Amino acid sequence: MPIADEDLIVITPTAIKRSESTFLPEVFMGLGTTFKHMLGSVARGKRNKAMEYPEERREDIPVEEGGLYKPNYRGVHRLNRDEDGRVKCVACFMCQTACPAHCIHIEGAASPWDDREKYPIKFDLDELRCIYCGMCEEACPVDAIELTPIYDIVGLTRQEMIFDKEKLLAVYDKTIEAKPM
Amino acid sequence: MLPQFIVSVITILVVIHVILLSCSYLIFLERKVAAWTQDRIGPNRTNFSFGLLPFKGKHFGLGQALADGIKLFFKEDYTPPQVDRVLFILAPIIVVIPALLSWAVIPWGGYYLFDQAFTVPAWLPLLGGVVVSPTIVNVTAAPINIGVVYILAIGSTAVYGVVVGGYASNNKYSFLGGLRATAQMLSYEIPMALCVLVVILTSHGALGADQFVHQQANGVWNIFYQPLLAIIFFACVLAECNRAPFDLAEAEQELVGGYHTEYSSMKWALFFLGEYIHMITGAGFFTLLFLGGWDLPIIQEPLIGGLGLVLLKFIVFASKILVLLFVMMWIRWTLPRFRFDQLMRLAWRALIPLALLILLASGFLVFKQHAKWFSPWLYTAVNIGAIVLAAVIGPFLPQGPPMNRKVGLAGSRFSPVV
Ligand code: SF4
Ligand code: SF4
Repeated sequence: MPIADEDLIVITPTAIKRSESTFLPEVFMGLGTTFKHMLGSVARGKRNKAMEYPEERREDIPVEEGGLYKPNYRGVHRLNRDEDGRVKCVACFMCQTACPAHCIHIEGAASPWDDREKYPIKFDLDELRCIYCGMCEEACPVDAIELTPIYDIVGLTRQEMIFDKEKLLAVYDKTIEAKPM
Repeated sequence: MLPQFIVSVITILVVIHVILLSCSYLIFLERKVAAWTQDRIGPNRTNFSFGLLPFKGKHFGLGQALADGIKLFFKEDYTPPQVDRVLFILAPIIVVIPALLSWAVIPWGGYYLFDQAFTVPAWLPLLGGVVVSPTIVNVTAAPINIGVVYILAIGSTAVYGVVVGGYASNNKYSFLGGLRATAQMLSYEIPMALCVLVVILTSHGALGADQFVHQQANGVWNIFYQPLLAIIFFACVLAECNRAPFDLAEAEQELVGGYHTEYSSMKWALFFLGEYIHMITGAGFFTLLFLGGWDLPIIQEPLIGGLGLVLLKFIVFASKILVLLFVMMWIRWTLPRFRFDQLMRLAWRALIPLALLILLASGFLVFKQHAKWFSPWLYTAVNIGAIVLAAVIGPFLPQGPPMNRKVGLAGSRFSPVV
């Protein structure tokens, strides 16, 4: 199907000025621009916003200067505990259903406590498949699953990166200071 | 003859080692310049321990250059099955050798005075026991009196390596890279030679590399007399050594890697080294013609002297080259790559006519150089006049066909025929 004339947007480039047509002034201006950047960034000058990562971290600088805002950063998950230290999750499968990456796998069982009916005996979360969208956190009716500000997790095998219930609870113990529930 | 021979051999040994070693640090510098231009930090961590040796600290990342080299050595040297094996192996060699050869005539350290006779130690083979008498020698590998012609001639053979590499790879991208390189080098040879011709003319017909330096040491550097010419020449140097913005032969975005797509490990590293050696050669040539070689500005240094003076001159020469190399990197990270038609247009419609114009005007001035009104600064006026003229009459010259036309192929979406 040919394109209708009214759908075509014809852009005429601005005419080249006399001085531009000889290239040289523009080339020198361009060189000036890059030189300004060079001077501004040699020895970490004011233009240079790069950080030396493992020693300098975004968590450590103020949010206004490009730091990391911990309360809503979406990093590794954790499973919250309640006041008695039990896993808070009630195995409702809301997060598993909401997850667009299908990376949560829960097996529920009858709860041994009488304040809830179910609890997860297995809670596997594949951190490699996860896209860190936070939908699970949104979906959870009891605020049991949460994303933490930790982003530098590594593992040597894929299996290692599938976090099970114990690991997710351990993340909670680690991050409860940095990000209270 | 003998003193010259000894000095030549020493010069060759020193220059080859100093420069080849510094090449790896040029790559380091290039990465740093790239980083600074883009507001980054650049390599600054690798030290000399490489995970094995007991060196602590960061050392400003200076170990990076060596690490890069070691990495290249230990990479798999893969030769694809479909290549023309002989040419494939030959190509990197053909790239590096002409580039190295051009250094032969560059007068690195002016003149050296052997002020005492001495005898070569008897245990040396061939030369043992020969008496060397006091004399003045050129601190260069080959003190021939047509040095400039030699550099031009050798420099133009460098394209063979690129073309052969592209052809031998038996790969369409490489082949296209080779083709582009051929057309580009052939086009940029011409303005380059014209520039050299103008400088030869205005230097009273000097051809030997050291003569140019003399003349500039006694007067003003040629770059002040011929600013536009220097720019044209610099552009040609960039094009000759396949440097951005003229690196169409290896344009990563379009041609994968151009002529070196199929190369790996040290063969690839030779191409890479060749590029840097070319840059050094080009910068040396530029220094020779326009920046007064080993001449220090302002201070009038003695022409002939001992070892100290030779070293000083070598350092001055090398620093000028280093500055030029920095400018090349700076340009690389500033200007975008030309499109091929723009590249050709630049050579044939801008550089060559301008160089010819300057050649004509300078020739006339040289012809009249004994007239009363003559002053070398008229050359500068000619250069400025040429660029102004180009800006004024440029828009009135017949334009080529419009660029970026959409050709309505019959049957396509854009077809007017439906
Ligand atoms: S963050 Fe998104 S992708 Fe990751 S587990 Fe939660 S819902 Fe799934
Ligand atoms: S939504 Fe919350 S309570 Fe429900 S299964 Fe997921 S983590 Fe457990």
